[in-house]
Amino acid sequence: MTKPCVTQTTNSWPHNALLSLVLMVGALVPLALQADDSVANVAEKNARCLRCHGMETLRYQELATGNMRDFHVDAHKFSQSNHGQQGCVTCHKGDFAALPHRPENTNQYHSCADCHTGDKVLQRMRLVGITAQYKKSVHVQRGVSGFDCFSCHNPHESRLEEIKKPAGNIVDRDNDVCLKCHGTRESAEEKHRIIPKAPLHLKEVRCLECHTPRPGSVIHAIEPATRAERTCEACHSRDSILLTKLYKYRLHESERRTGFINGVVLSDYYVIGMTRHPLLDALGILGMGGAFVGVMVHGIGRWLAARRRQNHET
Amino acid sequence: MNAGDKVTKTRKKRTYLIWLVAIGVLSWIGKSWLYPLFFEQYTGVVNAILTYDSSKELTSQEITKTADELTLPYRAKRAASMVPNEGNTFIERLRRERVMALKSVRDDSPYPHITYFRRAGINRYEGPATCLKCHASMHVTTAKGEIVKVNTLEDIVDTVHFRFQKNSRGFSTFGFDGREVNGEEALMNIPMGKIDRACGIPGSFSWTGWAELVKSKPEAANGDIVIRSEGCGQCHIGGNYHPATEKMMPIGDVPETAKQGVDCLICHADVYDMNQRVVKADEHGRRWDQDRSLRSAMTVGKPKVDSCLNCHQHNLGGDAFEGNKSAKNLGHINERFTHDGAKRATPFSPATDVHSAAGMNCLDCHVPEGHKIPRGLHGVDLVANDLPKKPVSCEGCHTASPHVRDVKNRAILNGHVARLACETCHIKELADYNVVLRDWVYPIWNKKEGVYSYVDVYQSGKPGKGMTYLWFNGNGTFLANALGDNPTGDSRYNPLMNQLVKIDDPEVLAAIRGVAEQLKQTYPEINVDEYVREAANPLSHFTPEQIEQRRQWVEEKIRPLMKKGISRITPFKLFNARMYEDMSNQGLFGAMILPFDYASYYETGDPLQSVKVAIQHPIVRRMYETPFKLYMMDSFMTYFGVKTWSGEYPLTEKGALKNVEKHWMRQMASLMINHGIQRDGRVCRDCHAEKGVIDFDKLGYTPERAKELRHLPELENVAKP
Repeated sequence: MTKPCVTQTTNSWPHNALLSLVLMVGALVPLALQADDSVANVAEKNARCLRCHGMETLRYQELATGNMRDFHVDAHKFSQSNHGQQGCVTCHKGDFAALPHRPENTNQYHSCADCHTGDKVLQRMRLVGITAQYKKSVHVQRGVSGFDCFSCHNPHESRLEEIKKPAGNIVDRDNDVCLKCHGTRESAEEKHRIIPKAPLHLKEVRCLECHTPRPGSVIHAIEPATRAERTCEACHSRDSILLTKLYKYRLHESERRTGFINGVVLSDYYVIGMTRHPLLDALGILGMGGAFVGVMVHGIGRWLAARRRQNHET
Repeated sequence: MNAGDKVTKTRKKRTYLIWLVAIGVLSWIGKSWLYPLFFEQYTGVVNAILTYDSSKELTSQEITKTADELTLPYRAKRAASMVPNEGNTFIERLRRERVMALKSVRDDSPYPHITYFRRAGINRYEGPATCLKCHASMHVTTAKGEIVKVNTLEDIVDTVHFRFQKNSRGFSTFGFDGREVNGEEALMNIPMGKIDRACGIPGSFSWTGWAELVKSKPEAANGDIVIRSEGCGQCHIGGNYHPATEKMMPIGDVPETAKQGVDCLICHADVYDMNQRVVKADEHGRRWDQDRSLRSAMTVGKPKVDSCLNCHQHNLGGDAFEGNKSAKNLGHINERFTHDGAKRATPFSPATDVHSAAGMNCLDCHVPEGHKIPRGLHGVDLVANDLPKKPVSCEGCHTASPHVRDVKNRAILNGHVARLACETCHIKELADYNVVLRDWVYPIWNKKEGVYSYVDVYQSGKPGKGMTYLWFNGNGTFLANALGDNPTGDSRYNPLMNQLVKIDDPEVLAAIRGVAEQLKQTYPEINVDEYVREAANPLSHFTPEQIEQRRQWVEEKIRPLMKKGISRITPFKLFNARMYEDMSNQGLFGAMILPFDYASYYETGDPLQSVKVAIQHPIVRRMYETPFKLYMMDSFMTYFGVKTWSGEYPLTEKGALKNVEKHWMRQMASLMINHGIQRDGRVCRDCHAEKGVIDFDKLGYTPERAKELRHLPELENVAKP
């Protein structure tokens, strides 16, 4: 089952790749958040648009495709986003007097490159690399109609990711992006029955870990399902691909915060429950339990012996 | 340790063992024999073996004849499809008759139980005992998708349809003390539900109005006395002499005889004779009769729309609704009364509801688990819910973005979903016989029925009159007032101080005055101005201090409940009733309502006498004594916003009523309306206009915003319909 796909636009993709770059790779660059505009300010500046576009459920399913088209802009998230200081009409050009707006007007809007070309910071974000990856992705290769950067990355909410978030949050957020079009969590679990404990995997790792080429750092080159990672050892090994993918950010964060990357390199393997291997966890618990029982048995034995000796004397 | 010690030890052990066995045996006897005896003595309820006249044995010939008759329409249809038009009517008839008699055609009929009964040698229907021969247990698919095996009889006996109350969590209702009914903070869980909720209908205290026989003198009978049936038992599946009173207690269970009174067929038979649903009196008491004919039993299957509507059309369309089939089959003897003024006035019928027109079954939305049927996550009233976590919602089928076809307006219509319930646009109004104000205190003679009857002071289904729009977060108060708050507003929105306690529509006021003037002809003591004031403002007898106290109470205890969750503007049916109240148990939101005894009310038209009779019912008396006070009434009153149950019996030893006053409930109840859905909803200008159906000021918008909502600049740019 495929859920209706949320598409914001029908533009062609090339320059818009910048945006996705801001979302993920931006984490590597210590940029300050540009979110000083308050919600009230944003709401006031864009009041006319937000009268309708502030409605949380301003959306519909397209008759032809069943795809959901969402027109809601969350004033709060927008004010916190990197574009929060811009007015709606900075990017959306045209005559919006008619209701509903005419398609020839709604199709005209700025793409990322219109503003960000020549931006030094963005050059450092390796946009060129991402663009190349994206071109190889299954979405482009198969020519999915209407697919572009905005299909995954909402320009009204994009912001440099806070790296401090626990990995779980990143997993949920990233997987939700995929699940906007690729069914529900339940249907995804059904599709991934080949993996033991599929629900747990879907909760703890991103779709991207298996559905992008090995080694990592090429998460925009999403591959078709047939080429997905199918070997357990890819992750469940000392040389886990997760170290170059999901944990990459933790590694950097740990280094930034403490200047010490050992803990992450060792992947917390010495902590019971964090080995990512049930047998090792079980052995660890067994060892600890055994030691405890041993001490107890020894103690009780000593105590009984002492009592008997005492009785004997009386 | 010597030998003597050993003997003593063994003896001690033996004594313990004997004691243990003795205690076990005694408690078994106590629970199975003594407790039920004591309980019946204490509460005055009666249990006895139940017999039904319609449960008759049929001969083999009779069975064949009945089966032929029941399957005739189906077989005729089959024959018509199998035999082409012959041109010659004689040959055509001959051939069709042969086809209709074919074994395969007979066996294929929509009533497979005809064959099952024949094979099992069943020639008489004896209630659950017959059904359980094959259906002793059943498999139920739970919400989690697990399949569990349950005892069928216990499954049904445990449902709200049988017990009318639950003493567990699962109410979407909050007491005026701010606590969820039977919720986490509850002092203790008490039995709550239709059996005991405070409601402006006398039968809601189910014991006093369970199964009553009334002497009526209808116009059509030319002054002769006609015995009639009345009481809440008519719509409940238990056929006992009282509601399932035993289920209210923490121990004990309804006796096996009562369980055998369950009316399986009223839900499961396709052909059920509602004319059998009348009160019968025998040496033990009064109870409701059932259709237990083998004819009905032959037609059993999954419940159909009409099975549910046997009872529920009464609440949806009402007896006044033309398409109410039960109201056309009132009884072969002891005919049931029909009631003027409908509870919801949203009939479920093809002409009045889009889902009914589509041929949908009730269970398509109310998807059951075994015999437990969900009523949804939302609810303002105190009707117990068998599956409180199971949603029954429009979104389940229509998604959260339901408008698809209207290409021009679909986005903006879906945009409204965040703030409006579907019903707000898709129930435009209720039937005009929707009762809004009902006065039980000044009965008048009802010529048609031949009894004294309550007066519907005001009926209307129009928005702003008989129905209103409130913010609703899915919860209600203990007296059925929708909870919710304007998400954009300050504390302006306050229905418990404004729209639910004040009627200011001049048309409505004029209608009330008209009725008051008419009543004055029968009751000269009525002061018309005062009558209108009391009906239009149920707080009119409060002192300014009390009003201020109430305002503060709402802010302190109710406002936090209103702010919970997500509120949407939702339509509600309005209702208030004037009844007699026990003023020893009164608070800022109401006082304990006293029940009426149907027979004396209908026959004499003396409501006070009727109250006296009703409160002398043994179980009502017990409610005023300490055990019930501690077990449930104290908790009940805290939900009411009253500290404790006074326990002061409102009848003196000399037989006079004490501390009893007539009052309207202190605020109008708002009842959820979810049926009678129309395909074409409201359009922009129905609400966004100077005199739109929604009063934005009352919904707590600032005056500027309310004005803007009435005159949306965007509307000028929208293509006019």
